[in-house]
Amino acid sequence: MDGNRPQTEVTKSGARWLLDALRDEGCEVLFGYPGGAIMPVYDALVDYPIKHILVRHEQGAALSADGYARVSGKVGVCMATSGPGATNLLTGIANAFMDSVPMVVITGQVSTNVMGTDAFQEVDIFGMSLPVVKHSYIVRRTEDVYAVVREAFAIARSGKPGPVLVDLPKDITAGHATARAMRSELPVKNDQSDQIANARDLLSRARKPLLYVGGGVGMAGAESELRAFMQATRIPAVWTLKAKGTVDYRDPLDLGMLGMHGTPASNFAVQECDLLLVMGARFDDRATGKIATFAPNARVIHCDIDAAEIGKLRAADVALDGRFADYLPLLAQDLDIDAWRGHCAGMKARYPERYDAPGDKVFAPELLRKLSLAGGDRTIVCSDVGQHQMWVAQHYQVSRANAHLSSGGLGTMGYGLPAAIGAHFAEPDSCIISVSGDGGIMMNIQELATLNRYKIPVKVIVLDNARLGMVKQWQELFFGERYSEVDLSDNPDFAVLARAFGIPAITVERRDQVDEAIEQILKSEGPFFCHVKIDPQANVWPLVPPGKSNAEMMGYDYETES
Amino acid sequence: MKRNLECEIAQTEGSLIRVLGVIERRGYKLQELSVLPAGPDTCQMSFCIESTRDISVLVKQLERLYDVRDVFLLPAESASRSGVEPHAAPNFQASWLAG
Repeated sequence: MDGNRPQTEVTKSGARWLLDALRDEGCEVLFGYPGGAIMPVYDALVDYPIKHILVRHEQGAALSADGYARVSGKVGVCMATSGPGATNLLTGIANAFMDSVPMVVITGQVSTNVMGTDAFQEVDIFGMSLPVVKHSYIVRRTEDVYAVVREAFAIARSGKPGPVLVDLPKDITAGHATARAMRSELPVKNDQSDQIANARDLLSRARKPLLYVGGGVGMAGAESELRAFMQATRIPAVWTLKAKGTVDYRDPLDLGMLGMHGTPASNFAVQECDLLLVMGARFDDRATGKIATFAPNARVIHCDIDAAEIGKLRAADVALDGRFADYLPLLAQDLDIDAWRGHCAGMKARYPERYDAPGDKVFAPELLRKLSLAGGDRTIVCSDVGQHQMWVAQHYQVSRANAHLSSGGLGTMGYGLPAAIGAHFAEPDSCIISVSGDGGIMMNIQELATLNRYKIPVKVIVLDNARLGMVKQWQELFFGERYSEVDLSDNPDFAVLARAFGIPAITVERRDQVDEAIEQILKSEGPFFCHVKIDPQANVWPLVPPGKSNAEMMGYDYETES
Repeated sequence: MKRNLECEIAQTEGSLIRVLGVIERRGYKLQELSVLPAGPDTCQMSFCIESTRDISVLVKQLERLYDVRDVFLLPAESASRSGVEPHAAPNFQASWLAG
C-alpha cells in the first residue's frame, strides 16, 4: 500500500484507521496503558505489528515516548485512555513541549453523545493540554481519523518540533467508515529569511565571537555541520544543558556548559564576547542568569527554526530562521581571533574540574566521570532533576548530540527512568544509563516493573543523599539554613526494592567500592540497579545565585578575569 | 502600550480559545475583542492588546499556531477603543465550536 494514501474505498473502524496511520508513519513502538474509552484501539492493536510497551503509569508512557523521540529523531508515540489516563500524560506532554520534542499523543475520550455531560472518566483533555501542545485535535468523524493522525505527525516533526494531541472519542474509534483523503498540502510553517550576508559581515568584524549552542542543533541533526563550522572558524563554544554532547568535549574550543551551574570559563567568556552566535537556543533564564547583564558587550546573531524565539528575550542584530545545515557552511570563514581563543583557553585551564574531595564517602562527580570514561561512546545517559542532574551535565562526558537526556525546560523529577526505557527502544544496542536522585527515582519507581517485564538492559544509578538535595542546597544558601520538608532519611532500602521488582541490585557506601561497582554495572547483561549512598553535605558548584548575573559565580571572582 | 491586531483564523475546534490563550499566557492583556465570520471556514478576530512586552513577539507567537492564517498588526496611532469599533457588536458564531 502507498504509505501516503489510505485505501479510501475500504471501510474500517476508526481504531484501524488510527493504527494504519501509525504504521504508515513508520511507528515501530508505542508506549501506553489501556482503559475503557480507548478499548476499541487496544482491541484492534492485537492484529498490528506495532510493538506496544505496557508501562505502569501513563506519565511513564509520555516520558518514554519523549526519550524515544530524542534518541531516534523520530516522532514518539504514547497512548492512554480518557480521564485519569489522559491527565496522567499531561506532565509528559508539557515536558515534550518545553524541550521541543516531537510526539504524538493519542487519548481515548468518552463517546461524542455523552461528551459534555460529566460522563464516567470524562475530562476535557483537549482544553487542559492547550497551553502545552504544538497543536491538538478532537476527531469527531471516523472518516477523519487517518488524515488527522497523519497530519499530527507532520506537525509534530516540522519546524520546531513539539507534542500534538489527538483525542479520539470511543464511538469514533469503534465506528466504521471510509477514510477521507489527506490534505494535499500539510500545514507546515517554516519561516525563512536571508540574512546570510549580514551575519557573515558581523562575524568577519568580530574580535571576540562566541558560539552559544542549544538543543535545537542536535534535534535538527546538524551536529556534524556545527562541528565543521567550528573547525573552519575556530570560534570557542559554550552550550546549554540540552545541547550537551553536540560540541565535541575533546575540542579545546569547548568551554563547557553556561549558566547557573556552568563553568567559569563559559560564563566569563559570555560576559566578554563581542559577538554571540546563538544556535538553536532560547535564552532560558537558567542559562542567562539576569538577562539584562547577559553578554553585555555582544552583538547577537540568533539562529532558530522558530521565528517566535527571535527577539523574545534578547534582541537580535541578525536573525536566521531556516535550517542550520543549509546556512552553517555559508557562514564559515577564516577569522583572526587568535588572541581571544588564547584567552578562552587560559580561562578553561585555570578552572579545571576537581575530584579531590576529602573523606571516604562517595563523591558523586568523581563516580560519574569514572562511569562515563568506562562506558565509552555508545552510552546514552538519562537523568532526573536536581543536584545529580547538574553533576551529570558537568561531569558525565558524552560524545554526541542526543546522548544526554535531561528534562531541561520543565525540570520533571521522575524523567530519567522512563526516558531511559524510551532510549533503549530507539537504540537497542547502546548502553543506557539512568541516573536519579533518591527523590526523583520514587516519582516513577513503578517503571522498574516495565524494565523487568521486557528485560530492558537499562542501568539505574540512584545517588542517595537521603534528602531533596537541590532544595536543601537552596535552603542552605538562600533561606538561612531553614530546612523545610527536604529530609528523605526514611527512604526504602532501594536495593531490596529493586530486587522485589526482579532486578539485580547492589549498594555502594564507600569511595573504595566505586571502581568495582562500575565494572559490575557495565558487565551486567540485563537491567541492573546500583544504589549509591553519597555525601549528604555535597552541593553543586559552581553556582550563580538565582536572579544574579552570570558574572557573579559563587566562589569565583570574575573581576580577576576581566 | 496599546496596539490593535487582526487575526484570520480557521474555524476549527478550539481555534478561538487557542488564540486567546496565547495572548494571555504570553503576558499580553486583552482589552477588546470582536469575532466575525470572514469566509466559509474562517473568521476574523480583532483585538486591542495592552502590554509592556514587544508586540512583534506576540505576532510571531500567533503566526505559528496552525489555525491562524494571518496576523495583521495595525499602525500604532490607531490603537484605541475606536480601533476595534467597526465590530463593536460582537457577532461571534459559536456553532462551529460545538462541531
